Amino acid sequence: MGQLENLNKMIALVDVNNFYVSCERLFNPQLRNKPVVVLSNNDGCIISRSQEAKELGIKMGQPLFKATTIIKKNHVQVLSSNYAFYADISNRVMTLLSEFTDIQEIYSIDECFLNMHGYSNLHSIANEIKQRLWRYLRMPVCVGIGPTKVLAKLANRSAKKEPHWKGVFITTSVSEAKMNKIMDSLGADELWGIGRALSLKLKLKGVHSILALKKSSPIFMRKKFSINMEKIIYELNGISCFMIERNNATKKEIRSSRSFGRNVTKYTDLEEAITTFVSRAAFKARSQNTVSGKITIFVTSNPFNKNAKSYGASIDVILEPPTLHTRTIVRGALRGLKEIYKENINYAKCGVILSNLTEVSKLQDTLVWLKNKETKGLTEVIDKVNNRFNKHSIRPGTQPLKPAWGMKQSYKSQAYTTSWDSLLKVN
Amino acid sequence: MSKIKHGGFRLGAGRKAGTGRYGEPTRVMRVPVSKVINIERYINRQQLQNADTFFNVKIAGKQHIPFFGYKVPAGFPSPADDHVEKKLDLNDYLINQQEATFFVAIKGDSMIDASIHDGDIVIVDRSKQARIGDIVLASIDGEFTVKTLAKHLSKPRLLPANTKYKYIDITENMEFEIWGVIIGAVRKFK
Repeated sequence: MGQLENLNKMIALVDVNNFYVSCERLFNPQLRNKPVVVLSNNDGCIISRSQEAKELGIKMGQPLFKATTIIKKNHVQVLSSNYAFYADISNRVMTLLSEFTDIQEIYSIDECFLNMHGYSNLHSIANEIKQRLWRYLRMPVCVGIGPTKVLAKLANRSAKKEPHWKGVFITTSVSEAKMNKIMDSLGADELWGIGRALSLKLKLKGVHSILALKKSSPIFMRKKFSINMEKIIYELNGISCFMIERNNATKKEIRSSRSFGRNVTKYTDLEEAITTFVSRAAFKARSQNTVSGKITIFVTSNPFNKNAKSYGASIDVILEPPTLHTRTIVRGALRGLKEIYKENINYAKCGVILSNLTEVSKLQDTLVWLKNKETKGLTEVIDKVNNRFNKHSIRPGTQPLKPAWGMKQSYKSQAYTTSWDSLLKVN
Repeated sequence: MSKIKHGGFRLGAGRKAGTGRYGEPTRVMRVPVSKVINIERYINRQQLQNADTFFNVKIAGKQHIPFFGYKVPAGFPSPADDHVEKKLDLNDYLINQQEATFFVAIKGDSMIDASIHDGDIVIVDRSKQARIGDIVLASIDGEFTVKTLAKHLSKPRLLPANTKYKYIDITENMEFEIWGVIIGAVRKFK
């Protein structure tokens, strides 16, 4: 390990504990010290649990209906997800964390990697991070620090799961023997980038723990698995292979999908839903200044309903020339929908994915594109009107304002930070 | 046709200058080892500022109010008045630590003597350490309230700013938390 310290390259992984629940607790003190769960879109599954809820045995991803007995018996507080609110808090968390580093990679809504290169007092910085996020935003966080991303992630796991570390774990502040002991006690599926299936394959090769993986031959494992496995082994040995990537503002694909509030069978309902999702996705594509060259439309039936016929299909529609107009994309999407729509199916979910996104500035000024540009004015005006007034003031004819198939969100908290009309009211 | 088909210099081959991560031509330079970190940081920071990324979070829409450089004498207006000198942003005036700042709406009249009225929006800063005499947003047994923070017999006491209401003494068996410090209020008349 001494050699690694000389390199002085250190990476932190910071993540918020039970992020959605922690957000809800910020504005609702009555949820503190009580079991709380937050549900996925449509109130389907449990996607965030407070520590108290975890201790009751409620599982991550468990469908709500399977947990109703525990919930009723223990007065577990149940909330629908309030994504606009979580996104605002996430932005605040990430901005505060960016002040501690020169390179930040936002990895998900509630976790990011920070470059810690050059800090000599990692412990005090980690504690400062913890304290600041608690004080400014009441977010409980764990900080894991190691010389590579894989080790930082592993350190974060220890910080979270072993309370005596008090939320901060630095791989280089424990002995190598101690580190090996931790790795020996954990299966490879606890590692970043190794899922359960891969971990089973590793077990078949005799690799039962993280330590065994660390000690295996990178070149051999590369032949048996992939270059990624080789990199993970190097990373476990303190040799950095995965760099911290600065977040690229331009997304490669934009997805918009939802589960329906009820089962949907009619074509017109699907048409409405697809139009709504296209509008949303096209708006996002425009706000990052890209045109789309392809749209994928998909529909699926309810996987939990074993009595009904199951069906799922998707189709790609090429948009030639690439376009940014909602109207054009909707037309293409609906043509695709007609192809995959089948009657007498209970549809539970549908969605669209815009891809082949190209930045407008990188497009070649072909004649086709010039033609595209001419109608850009209209789309711009529509976006401006919608930004200024209601989000859906001007919309395609097939997009309803209040769809019958809309989301079920029976227990949603208010938009505390994103709407003047729903601020917290205090006496 | 020349004999050599592979290798050697070819005009226009390779990446164009200025297409790398910095978006401009780069060059090699000798620097003291001890300064490498500083220079790296400096360059990375610059890049962050250039890239229009995630980091500029707006809490509310920016409000620009044109600010005129000098007073207009009565009579014929100076043509210079058309040249707006500066734009003021109310966010700059009202907010110190953007990420730790929240808006809360006031309901009721318990703070009217501190000129906080029903329907006002107060600005709560969680980064500020609350001191005696500050107006704070506190939670007592799960309920939020806005009051002035005071101390009585070395225990917190919350004072209303309206003689109609009584102060609240905080005791050990209450669940008490100072959520944030009220640093301002906004009110609209129309």
